[in-house]
Amino acid sequence: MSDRELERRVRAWYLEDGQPVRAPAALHERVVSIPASAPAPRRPLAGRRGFVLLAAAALLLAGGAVVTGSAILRESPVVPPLPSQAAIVRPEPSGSPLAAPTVRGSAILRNGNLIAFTRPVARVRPECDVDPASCPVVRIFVAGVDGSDAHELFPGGTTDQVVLDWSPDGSTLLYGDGPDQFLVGARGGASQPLDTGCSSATLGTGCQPDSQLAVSLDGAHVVFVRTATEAQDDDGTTIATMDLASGEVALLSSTSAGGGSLPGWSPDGTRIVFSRYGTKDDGGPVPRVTSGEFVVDADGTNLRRLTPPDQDAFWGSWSPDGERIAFLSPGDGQPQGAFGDVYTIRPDGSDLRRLTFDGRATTPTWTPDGRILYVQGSGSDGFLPGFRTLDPATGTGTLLVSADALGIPADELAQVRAALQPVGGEAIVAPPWSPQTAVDVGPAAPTPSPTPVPDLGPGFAWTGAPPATPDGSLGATATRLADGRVLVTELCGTAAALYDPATGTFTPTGSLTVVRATGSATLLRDGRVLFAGGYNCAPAGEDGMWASAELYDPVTGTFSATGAMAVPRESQTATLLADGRVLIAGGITGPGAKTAAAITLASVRLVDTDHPLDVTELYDPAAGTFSRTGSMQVGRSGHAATLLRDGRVLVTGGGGEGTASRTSAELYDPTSGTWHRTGSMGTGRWLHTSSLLPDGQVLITGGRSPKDSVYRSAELYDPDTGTFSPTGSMHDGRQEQSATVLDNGTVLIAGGYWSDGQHWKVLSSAELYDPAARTFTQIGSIGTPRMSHSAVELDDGRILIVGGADIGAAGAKGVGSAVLYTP
Amino acid sequence: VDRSPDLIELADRSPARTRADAGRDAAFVRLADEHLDRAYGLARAILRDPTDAQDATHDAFVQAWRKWETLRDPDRFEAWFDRILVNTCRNRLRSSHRRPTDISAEVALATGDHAAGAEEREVLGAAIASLSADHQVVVALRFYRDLTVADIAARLGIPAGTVNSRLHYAMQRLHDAIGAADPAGNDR
Repeated sequence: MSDRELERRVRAWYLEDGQPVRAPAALHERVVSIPASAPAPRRPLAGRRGFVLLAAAALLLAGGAVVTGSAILRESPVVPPLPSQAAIVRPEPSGSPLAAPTVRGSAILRNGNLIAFTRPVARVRPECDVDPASCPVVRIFVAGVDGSDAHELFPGGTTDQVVLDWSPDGSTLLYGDGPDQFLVGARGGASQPLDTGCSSATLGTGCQPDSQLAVSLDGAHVVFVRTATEAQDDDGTTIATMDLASGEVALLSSTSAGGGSLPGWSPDGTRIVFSRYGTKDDGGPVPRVTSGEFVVDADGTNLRRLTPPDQDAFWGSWSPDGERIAFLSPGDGQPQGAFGDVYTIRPDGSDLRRLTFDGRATTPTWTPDGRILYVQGSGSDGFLPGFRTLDPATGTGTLLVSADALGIPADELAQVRAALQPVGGEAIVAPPWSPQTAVDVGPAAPTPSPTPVPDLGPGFAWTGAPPATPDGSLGATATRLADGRVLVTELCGTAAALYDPATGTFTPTGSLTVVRATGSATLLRDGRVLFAGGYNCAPAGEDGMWASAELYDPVTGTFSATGAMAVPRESQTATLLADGRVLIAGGITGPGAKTAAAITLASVRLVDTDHPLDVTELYDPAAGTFSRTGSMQVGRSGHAATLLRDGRVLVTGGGGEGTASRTSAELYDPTSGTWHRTGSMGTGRWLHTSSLLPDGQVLITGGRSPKDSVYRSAELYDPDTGTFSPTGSMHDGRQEQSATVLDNGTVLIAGGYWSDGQHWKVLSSAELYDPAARTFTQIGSIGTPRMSHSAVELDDGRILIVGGADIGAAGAKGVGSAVLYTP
Repeated sequence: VDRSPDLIELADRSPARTRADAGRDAAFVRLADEHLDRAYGLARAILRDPTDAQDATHDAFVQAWRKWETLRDPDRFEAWFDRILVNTCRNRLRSSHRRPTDISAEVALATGDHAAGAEEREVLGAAIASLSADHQVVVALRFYRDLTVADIAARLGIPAGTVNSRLHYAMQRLHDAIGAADPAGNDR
């Protein structure tokens, strides 16, 4: 797809139905009433200062008491004066879906006097080169529970922070800063790193820094998330605990299959609740992200899902009395995101209750006095955005402190997480901690059921697999050597290997001098193999195509440079001529900037922007040089080329300018070095196949149409008449399949890619074309779906099918297996 | 929206409205009225969710109202307000990014059968949603609002070079995402 086409589509996407967007009347009403209902505009500085003073005065007037500047890192009274209840607990606005509030005076005492929370601040982080407002940093703030004296815990920092937990006695705050976790006293002092075994200092030892730590109520244990080096999302994480006194670290093995996030203790320390994210491949182009709450015993046994399987759930938190677990769920029809509704459930999975109904809650946690503290986002009628508490029994909600009072813009609330300071509990075992080597405890994670070995059709058999490469793509080219072995090379790498048909195994051989994805590989008469052009798979800005070429010498097993083409290119055809020279035709050239998908899959190569070439060149093995020869009449990429029995070369179809597939065909005459038009195919095709049949005719199969459907049809080219004629249809439409002529004259068509414009799949099916009957017959499966693979005939007539790619929900990946077909 | 008084309001509200206040209010209402459709359209283009877009638009106008004193020239309201609106939308987008990709778009994608056009729209929508908030904003300003790079830079208060690089990488990622989601990848 060209840049212009992409831009056109993006514009069209935004235009939706093409109708001008009108703001709903309700929004109009809300906006025009702002001057009448919102606080008057403030002058930039004076107004702000006035607010602070007046707010303090209001507190004085309302409650007769003022919260002192109690906050972390500052001296504060152990038990501060209570703020005025009237000032901080306000009735719900009328029409609220929740009942009238209950003023719970004791709550403040039992919950301490501080609240720690995170919020984004506009600040330039080191890795961000833009204005502060567009690259905020999430930092920890501390305030009185009435919102007074909100201030940043460590002012001026430029790393993201997270509030982890308070110690049960409220004397210390545990927090994450960048990749690591720390502890700081509620009354100030220096931060101390929390060592649970893995941190940024131990990177490279098999784990990423431990995270999401939570303290047990006895102050003697922590639970956290251990993350393997190669983890992706929750895969590769394990819930782990540490006995802070002994340093024993236990990995709850049962949690490692599927991993976990956001663990928390039951109040008695015997169980752990955690969230688990996963994906569900439901057939859409992108797998759906799912979540659920799980409970596991602290010894790793009894892992079970807590929340219903059909309900997304995260942010689980155990109530102080152990009776219920609160969690957040995206709720009815709401997209899963930061906000949702608060639910509670009993730890045995019974008695599910929903406490909020507007879908604008986030981060529920229990307060020490048994209420649920959560963040209320804006956008819902009836509630002030800010920190609220819920009575879990009645669903009664109470505003604790408004976002405004804390100076948090309502639209930043989704990134806010708050934790009330507890009082009266146990102190946490003071660091430094001495983590021992982690020990697996509990039952092992259930091993995923082994992938069944796919059934193979009659005549197919697995053979040794090529050496593994990072993307499993060894086999991007496969060239049968004179001695019968097959040279295979990597797509986006330089690895190469030799397949020995006698042993059925691959053995590494030398390496390409450079990466030559979608270049060409051609066996020369002298037994060497010419690799020309290709894309270097480098990051954007460093990527490009090669004009250079290199030769593989099977005697020495090495690759070495030879001449260079006049034009850098990839996706060209390379055809060994009768005189031993190699004809390089078409392909694309351009500045590079290929996408990963485009490298793997020919069908997304950007033929229209990458200048399909009409330029053709000849490689002379004797001289080791390329020279220009006549140009094709049109540029072509994704075309097919076949050496005819009379020594001419037939080139068919291919993508030209725009996305149209060409119907035209041309013949190259090596004696004159010129191209001539010959008959046209019945339909435009690219990414099709072209095979010389024993009778001298050429079989064209499948490919992609100008309208991007994938063809089942096939055509025959008759060199004598220079015309194409239909010849049956395959059972499956295919592009980027393989077509290999067998000794018996039939043609093996295997794999490829199919699409009907709405659905698509990579094929594992195979069929045989019978030239006599002019029909295709299905012959079963090649075992795994693959496209853009290689298929070569061995000396004994068997066909080796190797390499290629499959496309799953997560994108394309190389196929690492190989299969043999015996006719 | 919550209209009940809170501490800020108690503290800030002056006892009597003056004629200047009334004039200011009227000017705000006039400009808000004039720019509302356009603002809502942009918010919807960026956020995709109509409810979110309404909230963001409302929040942006509230912020605009509170910052009214910093608007020196009403003729420059559009650019001034766009910056507030875009910032509001961007923060909302960022807030919803608990995971690297926008989950709401994925959910939308997972809701069953689609007509071809709708599916293509959804693939592209998911690809756009997978961009970072900053990149989505730049793409929307460029291709929905049809602003020039210089105008976008002025709206966002960032260098034109940064706009260019964001656009470049955003479009690169759209190529990638569309290619990965639909390897057929071409016009249907």
